[in-house]
This record gives sequence, C-alpha cells and structure tokens, in this order.
Amino acid sequence: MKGEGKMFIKKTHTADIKNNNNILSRRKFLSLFATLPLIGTFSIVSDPKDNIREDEFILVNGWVLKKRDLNVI
Amino acid sequence: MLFDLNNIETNPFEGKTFDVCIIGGGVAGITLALYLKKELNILLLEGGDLNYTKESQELYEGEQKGYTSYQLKESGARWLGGSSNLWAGRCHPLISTDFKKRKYIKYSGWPISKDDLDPYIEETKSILDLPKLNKQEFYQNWTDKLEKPDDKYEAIKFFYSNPPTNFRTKYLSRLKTQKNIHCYLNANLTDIQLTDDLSSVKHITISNYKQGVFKASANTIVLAAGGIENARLLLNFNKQCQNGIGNDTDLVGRFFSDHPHSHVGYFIADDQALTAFQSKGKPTYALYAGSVLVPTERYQQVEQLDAFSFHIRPKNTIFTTNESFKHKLKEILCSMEWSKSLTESVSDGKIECEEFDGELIIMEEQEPNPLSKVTLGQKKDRFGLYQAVLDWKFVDNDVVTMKKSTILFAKKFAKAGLGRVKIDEWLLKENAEFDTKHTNGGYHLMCTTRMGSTHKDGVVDSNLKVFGIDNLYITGSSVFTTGGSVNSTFTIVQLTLRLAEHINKSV
Repeated sequence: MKGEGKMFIKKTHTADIKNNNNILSRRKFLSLFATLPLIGTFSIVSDPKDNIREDEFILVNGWVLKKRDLNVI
Repeated sequence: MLFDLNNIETNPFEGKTFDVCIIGGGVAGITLALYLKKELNILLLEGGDLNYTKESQELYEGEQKGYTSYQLKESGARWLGGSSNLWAGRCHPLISTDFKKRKYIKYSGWPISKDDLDPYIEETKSILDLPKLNKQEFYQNWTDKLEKPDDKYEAIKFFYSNPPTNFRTKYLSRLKTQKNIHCYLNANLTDIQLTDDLSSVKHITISNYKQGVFKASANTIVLAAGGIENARLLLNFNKQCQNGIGNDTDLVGRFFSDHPHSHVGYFIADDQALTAFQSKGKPTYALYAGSVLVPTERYQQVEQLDAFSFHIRPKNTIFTTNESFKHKLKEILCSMEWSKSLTESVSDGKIECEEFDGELIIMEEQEPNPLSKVTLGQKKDRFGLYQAVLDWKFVDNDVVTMKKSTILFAKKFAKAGLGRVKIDEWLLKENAEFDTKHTNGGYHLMCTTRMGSTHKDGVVDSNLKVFGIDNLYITGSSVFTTGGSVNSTFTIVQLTLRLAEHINKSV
C-alpha cells in the first residue's frame, strides 16, 4: 500500500520475438527501408525545445536512439 | 503499561499531570515514548486498537479535490503501529540540498540542516532494523558506468528494512512492561484547551468509542497523529482560536505534499551489462539489483529542478534473456508506425516489436505549494470534529522536472554505452500532466504543519514546538518543510529522536 503506490506492476509488452517467422530478414527490411523517404525517419520527434534532436540522437517511438543505431538494419 | 480506554468508565487521568502526553501510537509516537527519559511519566494515546477496526479507520474519511491517487480513508493505518503496519521498508536520509534554501524554489529551506539530523542516523537504522552495510549488488560494466558521478547525477544507496519493521509487533512488549509509559488504545484526542492567555495547553479531551469522554493534563503535549490528522485536529480546535490552534498565520494544512511516483520509461541493456547480470545472477531481493540517481546541487540549480530520485530497475528477465542488444535495436526500429504496416504486409500479421530489460521510475519532491492543502469540510466524524478536505495540487515545475531529467538520463544512458531508453508517451507530450495511470502518491503525507524560522513561514520552530504555544510540539512528516526525494520514514525517526533529546533536556 505504501511506498510504491499501486502502479508499478505495469505489464510490459511481451514480444514474440523468438518466432522468426514474424521477423523480417535483414535483406527484406533493408529493401523496405530504402523505399521510404528518409525524412520520414525523423518525423517522430518531440518538441524541439526538449533538445532531443541533437546531432547524435533521434527520437523513434519514444526511444532515444543514437543516429548510428539505424545502421543495424 | 497498556490499557484499553474502551473498557474504562471512570477517568483514569483524574488528578494526574503527566510529564509528556503523546497523541498517536505510530512510528513517531512510539519512538518518542521509548526515547524519552525513563523518569518521565508518559501518556501515549493511540486512537485505534491493536489491530484494524472499522470504527477507527473511518475517522480518516474525508473529501478530496484536486489530484487524487488514493482515498483518504486508506491513506494510513489507524491502529497501534500506524503506517509501519503498511510501509514498504525503503529508507534513506534526506540529502543536504533538500534542507537548503533554493532560490529557484519558493518556500524551500528548512530552519535546520542535514548536520542537525546526522547524529541520529545510526540509532534510526537500529530502530528500523536496517543493515549496517548496504546490500545493493554491484554489476561490472553496469553499476560502475551507471553510477559514475558526473556534473548532473550522483548515485545514492537506499537501505531496506526487510521485512519492513512493524512498530506494533516490535515494541508491543515494551509498551506493556515499561512502567513509565501509560499507553491507552482507543483513545482519541477530541479537544485541546489552552490557558486563558492562549500561551500553553491547559488540558486535553480524550474520547473512546463507548461515549466515554475524559480530561487529561500534561506538562508537554506532542502531536504525532499523522500528516493529515495533525493539521485536521489543530484546525478543529477553534473554540479559543478562531482559525484553530497554531494557525494565526494561516499555515496549518497548507503546503500538503506527497512524493509523486511516476513511471517514466523503459530501457534495453547493452550486451556487456547483460553478461554481467547473467553471470552474477539474481539478488536475494529484486530491488538490490536497481540503482538510484539523484541530481547534483549544481544541476538542480542550473535547470531549476525540484529534487528527485531516478530509479533504474532491471526486471527479472534480464538475468536470462538471450536477445542481443543489436537484435533489440532492430525490434525498436521496426516498431515505428510507418514501418509497421510495411512489415505486417510481408509477415502474416502483427509484430510486437518491443521488449524491455527494465523500468525507469522517478520519485519526486513536490514543489511547496500553499494552494495544496488540508482544510475542514462540512461533514463531521463520530466525535463531532469536521472531516478533512484534501486539495492536492502540483505546480508546472513538478512535471517539467520529470521531463527534463528523463530526457537527460536517456542521453546519458546511451552515451555511457549502457543501452537505450524509451520515454513514456505521456511524458513526451508538449503539455504533459500527471495522470493516475502513470503517477501515484507514495502515501507520504507531508508538510501540513511545516517547520519554519518564524511563525510567518512555519507552524513549528526548529525544535518542533508550535509557534506561540509553550508546551505543544508536533512530530512526524507533517513538520517537513519540503519533501525531498526519498521516503519519509527515516527522517520521521531522526526528527523524533532529536525531539526526544530536546524534551529530555528541557523538562
């Protein structure tokens, strides 16, 4: 009742990422990625005044990523 | 010696003047009773019984306005042992900055410093059954990088009372046997009578649940009834003082604070950290795997932040997961909305792309706000006292502090090679606000009879004496000037030990 409140037993997303059928192959994903206009990659960012959009970082779906992380796909 | 006032018909206090009368048999009240000199004749009044009773607990009922993350009637345990019957056991002393006047936080600044409470640390640890040494686990390539101090964050180590010390069970036999302590159960304070010149308490009125009403006298009275009750009682006692006792400057009940606890995000860990977690294995207690960071004084000052503690909590699967950091990054990238539809079109159905290695939680100091307050409502309790109205309010900087500090932490985390952070959507909104899905209070009811340098900025002075009344003291979290960013029980015990020393010297 005390301390933690009641909220922190938050159910995390359970990803069925072990099912390889549901994951794109590197090659297929790269080919899809290449078809998108690059500007779309950076369209999901927060208010610029929050200063997340430094050269080094991008905000993707709430994730604060390094730009070079994009190289993994 | 332990008595049940419900079983007593004739006034047991008649013709006696106790040295000290303590109102409330919770953490503060029991600590004070046990640490006062044994030569003192002490009356300890507990409004509840040995265990939960409906008739006692319902006295906490009241009206709520503003932010509501818990019900007043569930905000504490109204029986012997008080909130120690419910607490989580997490402990840390307040940090030195918490006591200081910070120009960017109006109404900050205690009239005492950390140095004034430090002498009581060891005794407090003993009372709360805290281990001498911290039990936090160290994970090479994780803890060292995460907790490496910089100009913005520094690590602190919480102590855990595990299992949480229950003052009722721990101290019941002493309360029963110690001859100078007269502990009465089912004994509710229902009035305070001041002398004609209003300078001291003449006697108090005590009611049981069987319509028994008794008067008692003591040279020193200490209110230790809880963060909301201390204020509610003082406001109710308005026969001689129109605004209630100790309330000449309209401060009783104001500045109500709790610690907003917010879920602010998740993280995935770098491979090196995973190796460290997996080679060492799970700790004996899940929270020993976590880390806690607090802002440096300089960072707080530059960014004008409230105090906060940032809790990084690896989840259990971090000890067993087989997924590489690179793999998880891919999952994140493929979770973007624009790519989801494309990926789904070639993968026969939806992909759930996000898996986390842990959670991020902030426990924050609430900026002192005079409009966040306890007042009296229209409804009366069974003793004819008005119920409380809690109007819990935040200021803009409370959520701004969370947002700024989470963004900064996310970048620090990535730069240190620890992994990546996902910030919760609610916090990234342009006009983010607390909501009860993501932010709850800690049931830490604080600051309603705050300590001040003068009667203009506080209800009690640095010795916890009510301004203007010679023999009335208050202890508990209601006397905190500001809430700080750690759990309140440790500080409650420290303050109470200091008060015991003060009373022991002065009587």
